[in-house]
Amino acid sequence: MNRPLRRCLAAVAALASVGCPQQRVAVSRSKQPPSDIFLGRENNCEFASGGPAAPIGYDIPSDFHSDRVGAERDLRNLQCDFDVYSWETFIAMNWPTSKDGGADPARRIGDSANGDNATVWERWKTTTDVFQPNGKMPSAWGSPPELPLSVQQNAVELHAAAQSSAIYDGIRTGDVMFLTKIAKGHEWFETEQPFNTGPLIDQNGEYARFEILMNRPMFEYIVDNDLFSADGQEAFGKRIVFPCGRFKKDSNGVALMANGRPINEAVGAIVVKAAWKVLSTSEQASGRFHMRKALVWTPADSNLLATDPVKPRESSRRVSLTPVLRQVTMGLVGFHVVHKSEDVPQWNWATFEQVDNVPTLGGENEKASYNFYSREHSDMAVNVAPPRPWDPRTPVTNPYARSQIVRVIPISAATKHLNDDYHARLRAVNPRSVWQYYELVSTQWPTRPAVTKRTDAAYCDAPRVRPADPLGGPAPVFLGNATMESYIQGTVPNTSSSCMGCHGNATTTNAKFSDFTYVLERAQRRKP
Amino acid sequence: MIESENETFLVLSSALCGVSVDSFVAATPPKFPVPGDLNPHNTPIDRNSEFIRTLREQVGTSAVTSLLERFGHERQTAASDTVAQNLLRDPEQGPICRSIMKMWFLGVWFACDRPYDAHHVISAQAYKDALVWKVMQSHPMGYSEWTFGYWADDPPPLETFLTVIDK
Repeated sequence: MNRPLRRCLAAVAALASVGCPQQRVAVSRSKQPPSDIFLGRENNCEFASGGPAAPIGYDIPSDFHSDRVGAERDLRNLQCDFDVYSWETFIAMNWPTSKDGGADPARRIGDSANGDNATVWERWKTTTDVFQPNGKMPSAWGSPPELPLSVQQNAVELHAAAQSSAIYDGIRTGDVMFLTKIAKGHEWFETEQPFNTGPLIDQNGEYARFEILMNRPMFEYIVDNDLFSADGQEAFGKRIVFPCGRFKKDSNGVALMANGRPINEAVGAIVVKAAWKVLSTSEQASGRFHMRKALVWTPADSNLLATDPVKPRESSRRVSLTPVLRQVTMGLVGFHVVHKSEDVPQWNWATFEQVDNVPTLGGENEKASYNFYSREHSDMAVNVAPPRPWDPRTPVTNPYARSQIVRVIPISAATKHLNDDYHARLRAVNPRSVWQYYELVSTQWPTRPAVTKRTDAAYCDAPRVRPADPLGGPAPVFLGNATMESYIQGTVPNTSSSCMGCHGNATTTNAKFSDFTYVLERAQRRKP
Repeated sequence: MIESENETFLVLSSALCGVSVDSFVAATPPKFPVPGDLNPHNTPIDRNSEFIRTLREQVGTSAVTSLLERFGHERQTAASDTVAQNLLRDPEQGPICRSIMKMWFLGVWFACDRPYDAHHVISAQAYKDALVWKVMQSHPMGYSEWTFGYWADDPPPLETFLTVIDK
């Protein structure tokens, strides 16, 4: 061991020291941050690279791009540029669709009379489509969605044949979506709230529902490598490396530009996680939500009524449950979009919310009502999972059994400024645009991205390139969406929500690193 | 170009700890300098600013300025390592230097007059970014960023964690 290091370690080990300087001053042991710690004096984001001049467009950026050089390339400015990248992605993904499911270049986001539109990402494959019972191969990209067989059988029993047929038609054409997940612990009982923290119940007493979708490059990687089944994952025998988005580059690796922007070459893998709430009649008329007709399925499951999560069977009420299939109108309330690219191989983690979701802890309680917070019941503990039993078949009437959620880490001043900027642009397309009611919470990105050359054996395989630093220093350290990480917000390492911190642990069904996505854990074994 | 107090503190820390400035990358990534007014509890880095702030709180601004000025002045005519050794022998500034080393290696403040008693953990981020874990080619108890199953493999080589100054 070299001398300085040995000297330092010895000093640390022995904690050796003599005397004490006269200048020492007594300071409280308390290290609590001051109360205004989160109010930061961040710059606004008006100088975001490509920000003010960036057009609203339907092309999903293939990768992150910043024009900044030298000292300008600091954490704050790059955060602005990543936030712009997230907004551009959000707009392109929510662009109106053409008949083939892609973006319709003849239209603009939110350009319809009611300010809403069917979106590109809603035509992508859901995890229910991809990970079939018994490891069955999913249907081809672009084929009509199907209801799960178990739901079809129950639906026939629950509805008249004609009504069922209409439901199926709506599902097949994409006009109606299928939703079921509310909490973890069961094939369908899946909240997308991490660590089994509980369901999200809105102020109408309705359970939020969740879905995960993936784009075509990600879907094809899974299908081509037989990763949709547990058997296929076991047989794969290689590292899982989803395709990276990338720009066209010259032989020196410099991105080729057109109209001041890099030219997209391949979009790479993208995953979306969406949170929806059942809309009341007045919410439907508010024009503040992206809306979808939905078929919401709650199967019979006595675990729901368990009062003790540790012993669900023993503590379940001995009642016979009936499954419930409801046709409702849902509103989008939360939206994660995660994109893998050459310059961001640890993926770019952006999260958006509907603006009426929750107030901010310690901030001004400025709205008359929120989707997931009650001003009338401000005596309730916040960010605590609703008490069991959970029964999503019917609305919760007891207001104290609903979710009371606040945002723990405020949206930064810079991101707020950028949100205002994009909202103005969306209003310029259509003053009634529902998309102006969605805000970026933040973007988490690696400050030390594991960038590789296209010829490298470890191309786009971040943990292989940086085994000691696979996450690459996420910024911000913590990030959560009030609808999807409702109960784990905060700033405690390993406990509070961090996109990359959590997804760095994701594996396949046979416990191999799955490239920052948990979706592969859903694969089932084929029937022998 | 005039070196700022933060930069001088980083160079002094490097000389005291025996690792290159780049080894503090998790604390101060040179590629992405961090403005000092960002939320320290949600910024991935900048232990450097956090530690110099802690030092000023604990020993006083004038003591810090005096230490950094002496280091900067003597470094004009002697190697940083030699200056660091001189400082460690100094009855006034030596204890401060040892506390600086302990901050970097352990993420913990040890008062100069009670060098055997940990006074407080500077922050959760400081604890998990402490150099001791890197020297061990490991990670803090209760916190790992490594991918699932890492324990079945040899740890990555020391040079992937930090660069030791080889004299």
